[in-house]
Amino acid sequence: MPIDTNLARDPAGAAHWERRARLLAAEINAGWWLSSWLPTALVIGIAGTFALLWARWQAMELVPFAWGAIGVALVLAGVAAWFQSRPRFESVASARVLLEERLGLHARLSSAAAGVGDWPGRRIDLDGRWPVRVRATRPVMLLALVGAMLAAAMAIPVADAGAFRRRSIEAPADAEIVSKWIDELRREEAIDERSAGEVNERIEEILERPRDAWYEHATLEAAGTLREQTAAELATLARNLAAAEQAAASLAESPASSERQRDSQALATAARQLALGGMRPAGDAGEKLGKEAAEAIADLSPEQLRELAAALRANRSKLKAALAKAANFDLEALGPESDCEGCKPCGTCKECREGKPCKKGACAACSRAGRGGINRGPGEAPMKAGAEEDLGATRRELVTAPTDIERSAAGELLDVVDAEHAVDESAYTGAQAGGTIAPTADGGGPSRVDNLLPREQDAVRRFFK
Amino acid sequence: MKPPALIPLDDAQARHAAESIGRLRRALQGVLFGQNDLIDLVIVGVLARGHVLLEGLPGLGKTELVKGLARALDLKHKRVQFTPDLLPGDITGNPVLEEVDGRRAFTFQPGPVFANILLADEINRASPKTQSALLEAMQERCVTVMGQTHALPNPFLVLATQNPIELEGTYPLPEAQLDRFLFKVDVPAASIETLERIVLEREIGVPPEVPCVIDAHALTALQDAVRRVYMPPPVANFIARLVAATAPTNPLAAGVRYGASPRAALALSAAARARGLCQGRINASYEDVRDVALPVLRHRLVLDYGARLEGLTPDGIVARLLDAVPAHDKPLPTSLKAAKV
Repeated sequence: MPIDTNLARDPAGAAHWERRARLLAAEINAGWWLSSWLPTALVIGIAGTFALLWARWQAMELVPFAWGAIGVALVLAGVAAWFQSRPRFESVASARVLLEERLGLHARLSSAAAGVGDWPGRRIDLDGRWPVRVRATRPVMLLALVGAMLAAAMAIPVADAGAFRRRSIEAPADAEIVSKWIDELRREEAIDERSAGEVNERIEEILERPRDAWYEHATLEAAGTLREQTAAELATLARNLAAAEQAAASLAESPASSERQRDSQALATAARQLALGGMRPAGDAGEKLGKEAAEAIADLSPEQLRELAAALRANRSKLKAALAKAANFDLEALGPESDCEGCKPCGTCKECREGKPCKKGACAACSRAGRGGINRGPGEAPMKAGAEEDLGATRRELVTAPTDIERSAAGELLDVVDAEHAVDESAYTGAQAGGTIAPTADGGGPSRVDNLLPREQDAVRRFFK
Repeated sequence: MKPPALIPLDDAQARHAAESIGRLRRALQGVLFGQNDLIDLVIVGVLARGHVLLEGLPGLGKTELVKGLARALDLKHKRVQFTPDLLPGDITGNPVLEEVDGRRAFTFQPGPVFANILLADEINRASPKTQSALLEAMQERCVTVMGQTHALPNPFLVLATQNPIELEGTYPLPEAQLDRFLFKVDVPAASIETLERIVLEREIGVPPEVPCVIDAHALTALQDAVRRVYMPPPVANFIARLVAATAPTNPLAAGVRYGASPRAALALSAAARARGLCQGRINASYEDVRDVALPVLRHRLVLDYGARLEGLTPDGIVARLLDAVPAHDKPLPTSLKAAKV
């Protein structure tokens, strides 16, 4: 049979003991919340440690954001822990049971809360009799661990990611340089697309190798060789353009048949070397030289030859302008300046009216004697050992044009060298008396024909410098 | 129809009841020396309207206790020595053919069960048929003979005894009938001091003087007061968890074949209330439940064969359950530790 519990008793005692019960419930619930939050806080601490290290590695400006993210994560974890531990939370009634049992109150609190009987006296000494004791070791150690990890993340020296990026592997410098050359040449339309494509293919072949192998000797050697060969081919192109331009200009201005034949031959040779070179000109010069057969060049009218010379000059200017923009190219390898504004025909002087080279508007360099070639040019450049064709040897030496053997057809005539035997009469030929050994290596001129590579030519030039 | 709510005791009523019970306790302590716990349990059983099974060796004062209790309460008591040839009618009473007004008719001759306190000595020596007749009377508090129901006097209390030795030719009470006893109390042997006091103060054949401290009416009032002792829900929850923990499926009750029944929970509740009143309190408490748990539960747990072979006893299992089942049913977080007060 139920018992009537609608009896009011001692509200002051009720407030006192209910406050104690609520305090006990809050303490227990805080323990549940802590036990649910601490593992997550540990995980956040570990993740936050790495986040701080990453932020310091990337940029110090990210560190406050990392701290903010850690704080937000801890707060969110706290909210989640509250929801997760809520089912285990202690009610005030349950805390009352704990309180009355530990204090030996014989279920008096529960009875009084139900309205049966008075609340126990408020003078019960609770010191040392509180139902629960906090075991703070584990929570404190976990929190200390999290704090230590975060502090360590701020204290550990961390390298700058920028330095790491600077240490990253880059393509071989020579390949990059050649690529820039080709880009500039394409932009200026100084070489034809096929030549540029061939060089780019060779660059790609180098870069197709594994990145780890980019700094190997073979790769660097290949890139260096590519750069040297490309520079040499560009220099050869510039020289051939200059030679062709000069030959065309001379042919346009030379009435004498002997000079005309020589200039015609020189123009044909230059045109052929332009066609066979590793680099071919683009634009008008290439088209014009491509159209005209070598044999038909001699039949061109003076106006056509002048147009051809102007086209070749323009192409050479583009070539020099492009390479001037591109870094790391020795412009001196392209030969002397010849397209200055002062060298343009003035159109008013007698020479201009007669169709001869303008002397009025010629620049100082162009006005000097010998301009136009090894026979008529201004002579040796200052501080130069001399023309490559004349290295100061006692014998006449000619430099053959660089030829690409792989592109040659079988039986193709690669070069024609004008040379003759130059026997050194004063050379020591050994003892003339009997019983001596006949001298060896007493040869003729053709065996002395030099086939120096551009690199070797540079070496020789540096030697004489 | 919902029964009217009982008015709970107030502190003054509880104190007054405790004083009466204290007088009864002191009176019985003058009868039976050195058995205060036994006396308290018997008083609790009386107040809770329960029957008590006493188990102990002969000569420990069981009969004297019953006689003293009857005299202290001014109640009518009977004693029946159970034997194998005892018939149910010898307990409940028999119809007797009598001539009344010139006509012969059967009239009911009440048996010894028609007393306020019945001492059933060595109940396990009677046949099951006779045992069941008594146990039915204990449960129903009435006797039906020849289709006629006769109510037993109020209060009605059976104190049965059984001897743990000389088991040959006995009929152990079945578990279902044991369940009808509120308590099963082991009567311990007397200590040296107690024996010395007995020798000094008692004489064979001379019964002790016992004053009447409570009459039947007052006892009934005390029994009604027990019903008004408040059972707080947390204490009821503790009782429920304790009884449920005796189920064989519970790991704590390993070795138990049959656990305690809901009647055991009711017995625990009634006994805890009565003990609370004995202490002068208006409500039952966890301590009351713990104090009465052993005599309430020990005869309601049936152990399996393996547990008995291992030497496990119901007392050990109940003690283990009392240790394992806390009053506060929720665990504490690891960051907190329950303080031992």
